[in-house]
Amino acid sequence: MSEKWSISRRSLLKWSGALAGAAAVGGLGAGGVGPFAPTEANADSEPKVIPTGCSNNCGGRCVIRAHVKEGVITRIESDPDPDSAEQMALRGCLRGRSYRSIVYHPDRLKYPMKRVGKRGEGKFERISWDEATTMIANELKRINEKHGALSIYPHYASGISGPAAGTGFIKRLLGLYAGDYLNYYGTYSSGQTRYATPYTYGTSNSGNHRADWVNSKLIILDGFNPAETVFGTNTMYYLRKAKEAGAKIIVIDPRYTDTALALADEWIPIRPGTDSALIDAMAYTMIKENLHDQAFLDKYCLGFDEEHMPAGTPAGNSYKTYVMGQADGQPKTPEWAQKITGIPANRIKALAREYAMVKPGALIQGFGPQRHANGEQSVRSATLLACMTGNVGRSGGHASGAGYPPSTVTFGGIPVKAGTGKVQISCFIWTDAIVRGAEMTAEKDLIVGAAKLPSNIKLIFNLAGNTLVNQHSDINKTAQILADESLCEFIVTSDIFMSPSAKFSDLVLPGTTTYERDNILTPWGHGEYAIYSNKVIEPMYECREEYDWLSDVAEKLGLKKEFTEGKSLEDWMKFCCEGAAKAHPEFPGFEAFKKAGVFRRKVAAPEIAFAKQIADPEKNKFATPSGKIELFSKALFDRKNPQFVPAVPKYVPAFDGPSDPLVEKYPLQMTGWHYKRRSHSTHDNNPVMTEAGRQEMWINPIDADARGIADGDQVKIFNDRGATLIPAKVTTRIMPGVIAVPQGAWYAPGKDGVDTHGAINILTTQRGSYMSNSNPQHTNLVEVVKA
Amino acid sequence: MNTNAQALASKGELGAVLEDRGFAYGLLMQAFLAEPRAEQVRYLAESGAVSLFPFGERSDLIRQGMERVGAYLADPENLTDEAMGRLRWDYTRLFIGPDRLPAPPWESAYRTEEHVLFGEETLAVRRAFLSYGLVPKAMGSEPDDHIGLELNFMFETCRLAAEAAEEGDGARADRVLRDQQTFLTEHLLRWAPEFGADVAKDAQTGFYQGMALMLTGLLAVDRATLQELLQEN
Repeated sequence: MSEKWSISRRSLLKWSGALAGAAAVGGLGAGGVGPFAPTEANADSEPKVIPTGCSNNCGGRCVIRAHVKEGVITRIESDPDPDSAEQMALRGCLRGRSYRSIVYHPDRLKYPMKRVGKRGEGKFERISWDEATTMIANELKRINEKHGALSIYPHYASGISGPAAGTGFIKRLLGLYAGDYLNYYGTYSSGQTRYATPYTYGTSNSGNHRADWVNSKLIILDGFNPAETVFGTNTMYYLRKAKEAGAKIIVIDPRYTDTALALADEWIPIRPGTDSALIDAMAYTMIKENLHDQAFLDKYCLGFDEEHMPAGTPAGNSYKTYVMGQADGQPKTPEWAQKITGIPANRIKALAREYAMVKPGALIQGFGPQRHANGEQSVRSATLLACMTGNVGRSGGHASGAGYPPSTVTFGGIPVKAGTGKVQISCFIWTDAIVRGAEMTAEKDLIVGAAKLPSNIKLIFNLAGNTLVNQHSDINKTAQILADESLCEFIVTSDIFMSPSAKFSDLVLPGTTTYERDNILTPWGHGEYAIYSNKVIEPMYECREEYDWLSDVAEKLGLKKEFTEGKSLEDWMKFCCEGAAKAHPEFPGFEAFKKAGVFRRKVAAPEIAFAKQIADPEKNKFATPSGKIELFSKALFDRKNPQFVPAVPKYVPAFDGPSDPLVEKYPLQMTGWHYKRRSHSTHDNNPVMTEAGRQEMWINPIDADARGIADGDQVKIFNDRGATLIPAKVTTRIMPGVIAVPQGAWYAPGKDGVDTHGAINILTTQRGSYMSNSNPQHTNLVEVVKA
Repeated sequence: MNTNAQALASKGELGAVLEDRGFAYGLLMQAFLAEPRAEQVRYLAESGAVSLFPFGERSDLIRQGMERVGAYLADPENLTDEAMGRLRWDYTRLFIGPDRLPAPPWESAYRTEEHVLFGEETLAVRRAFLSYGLVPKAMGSEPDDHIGLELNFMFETCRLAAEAAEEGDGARADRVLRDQQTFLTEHLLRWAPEFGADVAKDAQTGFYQGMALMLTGLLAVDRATLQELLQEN
């Protein structure tokens, strides 16, 4: 047998030969037990079930139970509690249940990495945490000295929400070190409605509790699609209860959404961005047929008609004057609206009669109608119609607008230095502030807290956010701005994947997933509960929580004591829980909350927004300047921009909308939607969700036929800003003249710069909405060709 | 019952076989376990270690790989600091990231249905390591089934078998070889050839292209070798 082994003897290269010149890096080491003896290292092998949560930013927050064995998550389940009439379990959807595929994804960011190529090129090198935090401390110091505190911008990010998120801590550190930072207002989700709703009601908390929907006889869902967006865990359940109780449900949407599929008695397709035209014509019909609630308007509202205007306002500025056409000669008739909205005039009239006469009725607006160039008007129009029908402050009704419930569960936040963060830009205009921040003013650019900005943005902290590139508008323009290293001088990203945003960073830090950190989760507003999301496993690789490495940065700046106050992250959670205990007497305290995983606030009866103001308006004023519902807003009137920022709600045609002359070149309106296979851009690379839902563009057969496009064909969508490739779904579930692309797919440019993955923001604009400078990411004109 | 291995051990010839195998596993383990370091690459170039890689006569893949790596190391252009940077980037993008990994270096990434880590395979690999008292340095925070660790396991167990053979304990050497055979057929051979193909396809340097070919070749040869060694004499 031995002759088979004709081995050249390598006297120099025996066992050590292969290993020479190499120090052992991360290999196997003897466990301190004899080589043949089994070790006891698996003592911890008893399976455990740990209560944690799903914090994907869909609006809901769900209970997750993680099964752990030998330090490995083996299985995920959701809320095991049974449902009862009083209390629905907080069960997650496929996104939450497949999060294990995110945690154990091979492409996780694992080590700190610094850019070695050009910014955006994607070349990085692994470095140590010590190098990384030193670099941050040095850059922070340099840029603060050179450009000042207001050149430092903690970016909008929603990958991790809650008190343990990095954003609160970076603001704390910047307050301590630099004395301030540039802050933002608004959100990419609800910028227009959060800005516009308070002009009517003085607050964005204009919604009845969802459990009250069961008292509605008619529910109109305007661009509201909770079957996919969730909006608050169990929102669909409350709608179904209402339907079972007899409510008629009408869905107004360019798409026949999953919500429409599940619940609607009727679907009214509408051209994107024309909701105010529909509402104007409904108001016109109600006035013509005397169906509106004049008594309600007289008693509670300012600005409906000329008889109820603030003193000193010139005549002809009331809503009624506008809608009847007495000011501009164009009565806002259903026929007028038909041409704009695409909805037959007769259907508009019927809808007006139905909403005016079937009471109580709830006109519930999602965030789609407001994410437009003229989105603030859609919001204001809907609040007006709720007032015209007297549906405000009553059970079964709904005041419309942003529609957050009047009260939620609140926690304390991470304390920041007093007086910091007052200077703010709209969260949408940061790219502009990189280029020309020092030219921006309160008057022209809606800067808050200062007459003007002292500096351009020079340093960005992007902690768990993909809005640096992917979720912001006009990716090509954004990439061009960020690629110029002389503009924004330093960009730090902490994330769990190399997102398209992380790629444009100078330093990429591996963050922890929801399962690797403690956090407190609260839904956007719909749901009177909070979840204690327990750490399930230790952070993998060299991943760290933001608080952890920010403490190192603080130490290098000589501020560790001040920054941490000696607190661990858990201590901060305790601190936040003290806030909850103050706000909610029934809060059980930190330990019990952590152990149970859920805290549910006791609610005696479903809360009705503005019930007090309606019951006793003398004693309970609305939080508006006049104390009334302001259909006419003096504050908006004083903006002196009546064409685009009118004082009463009006249909304001959108730039890039259906009446823009650009339709000659780009005849299709394109709207985005929040696809159930992702939560914004989270889960785009989750293999389970990729299998569950294809990234695809919806197009009506009429538009598809005209372009020779068959179902499943690869198509190119383009406009002057860029182009993207995506498969087409040819379906009558979308109205003609409109295509829809689900937002959130990760930008993946080919060599020619054309995106290959249906990333919608290659086509959207950085121009802000008319009233609030928010993101008009559903207002787009495009053309489609077969690729 | 006596195996070829035991027969070789009694003649004092098993050690040489195990040295060859250990050398091969050790060299590949070094290549795949961590980012390349300049002194390591220069050592390989100067010592000619790659040309001494065994089993070339039994495998076209091994010969091709040796040629590819050998040619890479023979070119002085590839030993400059700049070239070291390029080599490091090749390793980084293949096996660390930060972008999507063309060849994720973990068994579970290839064998789980959804291509995620920490599957049943990972725990099985961990148990195999622990049964020899071998504990991955990053156990718990990184998957145990990294290609470098699996090759490390083969390397360490070759060494243990050689120790046993040297002490004249043929039965113990036999047991180790059986465990190696199980590990090879239940783990490495189940995924590493596919992994090797991905590396060979996506690597930008001849260094990793060649190492991938050598890896795939070695696993096939070693299966046959172990089979022969464990056959009854």
